[in-house]
Order: sequence, then structure tokens, then C-alpha cells
Amino acid sequence: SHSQASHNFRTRSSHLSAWRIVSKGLTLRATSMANTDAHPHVSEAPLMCYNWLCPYVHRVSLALTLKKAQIAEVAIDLSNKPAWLPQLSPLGKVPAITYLENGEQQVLYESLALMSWVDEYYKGPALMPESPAKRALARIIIARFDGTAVTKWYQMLRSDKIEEFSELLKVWHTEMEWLEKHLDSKGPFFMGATPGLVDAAVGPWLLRIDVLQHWRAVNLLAGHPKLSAWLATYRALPEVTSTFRQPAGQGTWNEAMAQAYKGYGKTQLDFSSAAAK
Amino acid sequence: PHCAPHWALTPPRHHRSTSVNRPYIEHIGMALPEYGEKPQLTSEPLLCWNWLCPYVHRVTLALAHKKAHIAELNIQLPHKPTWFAEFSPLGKVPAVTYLEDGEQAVLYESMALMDWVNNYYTDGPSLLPSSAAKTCLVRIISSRFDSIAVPTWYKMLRGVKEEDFSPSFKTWHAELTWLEGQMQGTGPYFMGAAPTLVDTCIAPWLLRVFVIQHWRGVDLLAGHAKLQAWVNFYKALPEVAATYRPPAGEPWEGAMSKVFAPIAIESSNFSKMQA
Repeated sequence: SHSQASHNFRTRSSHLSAWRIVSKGLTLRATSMANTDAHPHVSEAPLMCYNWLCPYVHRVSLALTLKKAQIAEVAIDLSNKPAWLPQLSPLGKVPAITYLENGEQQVLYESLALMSWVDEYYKGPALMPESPAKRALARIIIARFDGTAVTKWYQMLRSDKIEEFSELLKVWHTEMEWLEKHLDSKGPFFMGATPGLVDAAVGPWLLRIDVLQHWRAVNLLAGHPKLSAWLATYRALPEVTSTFRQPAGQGTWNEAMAQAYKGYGKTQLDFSSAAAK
Repeated sequence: PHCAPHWALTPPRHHRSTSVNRPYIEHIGMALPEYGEKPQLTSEPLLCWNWLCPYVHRVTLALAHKKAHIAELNIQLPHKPTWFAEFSPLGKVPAVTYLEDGEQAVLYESMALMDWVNNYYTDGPSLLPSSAAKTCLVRIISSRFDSIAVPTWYKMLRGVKEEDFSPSFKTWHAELTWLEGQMQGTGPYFMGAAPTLVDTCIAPWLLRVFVIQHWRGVDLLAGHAKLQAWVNFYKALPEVAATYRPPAGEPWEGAMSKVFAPIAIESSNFSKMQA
């Protein structure tokens, strides 16, 4: 389900005659412009380079929805990037956000930096705890997950050798144990009663555990009941489900996501015995 | 990478800052440090510190710009106190601990700690720009420097042979070229008129380029005039100079080059690689 059309859009509509505005959402389809040099108009209203499947983009989408904020988007097909992409995203990646501040184009990227930007730019619920100590703890948790767990997730998906996969899975489980220990004791979210940037930072890879179930037949949260409980609560939030934006005709978000990772997973392998060790 | 061991040197006997009630841990002479009893935790933050570590230096620089003082625990990493893990779970410095609402906060990771300093010491100036976009840029620059330039600095330090040194040297220069391109306005600080967490994030390794000069015969700032100018300005600031706390009687540069000996292993002369 798409977010409601935003007031942000009205100020930009006069510049967007070359673009098709799809559905009630804010997503501009870039494909019609793929062969031209012209990039979308940059104004004072932030514009995000977006892609429905990318977990790094998902971090930002989650932060935006929790902040009750909306942003204009241009959808980027990563397998067919428009030539103008570096002007909005210097490293040619998503997510990226750009807008004019005092007439100067700001070009922002790095999903973790962008999540903090969302928290600071928009007025809305605070996405970080108030106390300096808790904020530091949030950053420690995010940095550790980003440094190890994310890499292991991709390495497991790409691994076609069960011995190698077992080693990766062991590291993953060590990381999940550490992560569980750092869940707020009362919860239900990472830092307490309300969801925030820690949930958004780890969410995309935990929301995608069915990808590993599909391609490698393992449940990445087996043996981590508190994380499983967190995940169940998190994915049930309407804000979170609003970020599930798979293309029409591709089934559920989980189904579409599993297929999207075919290039990594290649063929389905049953590594469930690695999990049993 | 954690700090180089420094058993060759006598650690400092005096600390500049801190509350008088804080028990000081001092290493007398060359004997193994005696840490005594584990310090009592209070609501006052305690920084696990030592004089040489560049990661610690990020935190002391942030504190300096905030004109803040913090109680310190001088930790000799090759000889940690038995109770150190309660203050620093990964056994590293820097680490900060204190009681918040009766619960012990255990904080580490220099990047998180720089933000902590900025959040905790509200009397001093903010170390982040006023706009969300510029603050985001601070984070982009800092995380890139931390992920690439810092490990590259250590690779150069370890690169005794040319085939190990040369690729890292190339990467270093590419990163510094990118970094210079990010400098904002006319300075004199990285982001403009005021110090920010970019200055504190990058400074420790740029202020220690003499270590690589000593061990590898190259000037890491050659060809990067803007960054050289920034280094010259930054290290002349009294609050920055005050963060240089080598062991009593030892010169900062000489002592620092010596402590990195176990990582450098032996000198090389790669001056011919200099542009």
C-alpha cells in the first residue's frame, strides 16, 4: 500500500511535466527518462533516489514512516541506472537524498547518515532516545550490526558450500545473541516503548530472513526467541507494512523479495543441517 | 586495530583534568601498573584513557572543543586491570562508564563516544552544524574516513615491503583527495568557522603523519595543501595542543613514533614514491 499523496508534491508539479506520476504515491518512474541526460528537478523539497527491494533504502523508508514524514521519490532500476544518477548520488547508489539549501545542492547518501538526517530534518516522533548514554548505546548497536551481521547475511546467501555456510551461520548466531542481549528489557522495541532508528537499522535484514529460508532453508532467528518476538511486533506495525512496496503482480512482499535475490541465491540449497549443528 | 603497546616508556604521572575525589591510577616507574581497587561508579562519567591511542584522541579532542572535563582512568592496554571488562566489554580504550538512573551505562566505540560528548556536555558549543544536511555530510565524511583512511594508515605502518606499502599509499592519496574536496567554505575548521566532529574524527591520524614519515620515509600530506593548512591551523590551537600528553619528559612526536615500533617492525625508505 502506498503512502498518501503528500503536500510536498504541489510545489514541484510545475517542473514535472516530463514525468509520469504513478498512483497516489510519490514515486516517479524513471524508466521513461533513462536515455536522456536530464535528471529530475532539484528543489528545496528533498528528493530520494529509491528502490523497492534495497534493504539500505528500506532503512530510510522505515525512518520516514516512523517520523510520519513523506518524501518525493524517483525510482531507480539498479540494473539499468540512468546516466544522470551520479548528479543525485555521487556513488551511483541508493538510497540518496538531494535538495537545495540556501541555493546550494545538498547531495546526501549512506543509509545510516540518512536515517539520522530523517530524524533531524522532519518534525515528528523522536527516533533516538533522549539520554546521551542511551543514544550512544543505540549507535553502538547499529554500528555493530552494520559491521558484521549485514555482511554475514549476504555471504550466507551467496554461499553454495555447506561447510563455509556453517561457519558464517555460527558468526551470525553469535551476533544475534549479542543483539538479543541488547534489546531493551521491557521493549517491545530495541530502545524501549517506541520504535526508532535501531529498529530501522536492523529491520531490513531481519524482515528479509525469509529470503534465506527460501534459498538456503535456514531460519536465521532460530534460537533467538526475543528477536523473533521483536520481529513479529515490528512487522505488524502499519507503518512498517506501508514500506512493503513490491511491484504489482509479484505476489506477497516475501515472495517478491525471495525472487529478487535469485541473482545472489542462484539455486535453492537445503542447508538446514548446518543450522542443526 | 587497538593501540600499540608502550611498555618501553614510562606513562604519565599527572593528569590534567578531573575531580579531586576520583582515585587516580598511576604507573610508577617501569614496574607493572598497580591499579588498586576498581573505582566506584558514580553518576560522574569516567573515561578509560591513555596518552597515545588515536581513538582515545578523538574523544579528548571533542572534550577539548567543548571545554569539558572528565574523570579519567589511565589504562595500560598490555596490562589491563582484572576488572576492566566491567568498564569496557571489548577490553579497549576509549570507553566511558557512569551511573544513569542507578543503571551502569557502558559506552565504547570512538565514533559513538564523540557523539556522546556532543550530547552530554550541553554547556559547550555544538560540535555538529546547524543544518540537517551539513550534519549528514559530517557523518558521511566521518564514516568514510573511519572505514577506509584509518585502516589504510595502519596498513602503511605495517607495510615494510614496497609491494605491501604501495597499494595502501595509493589508496591513502585517493582518500585524501576526496577528503579535500569535501572541505567546506574557507575554513579554518573542516566544515567552516567552528569545530565539528569531522575535525575530531580525522585529526588523530593526520596529526600522527610523522609516525609514517619516521617509519616509511614519506610525507602523507604531500600534495594535499588544503589538508596541510588545516593540520597546521588545528594543531596550533591551544585546546588541541593540550591534548598532547606524552609521558613526563618525553617529546610527543619522538615518543609516539617509538610506541608504534611493534607494528612498524622495521623502517623502510619509500621517499622515492613521493610525488
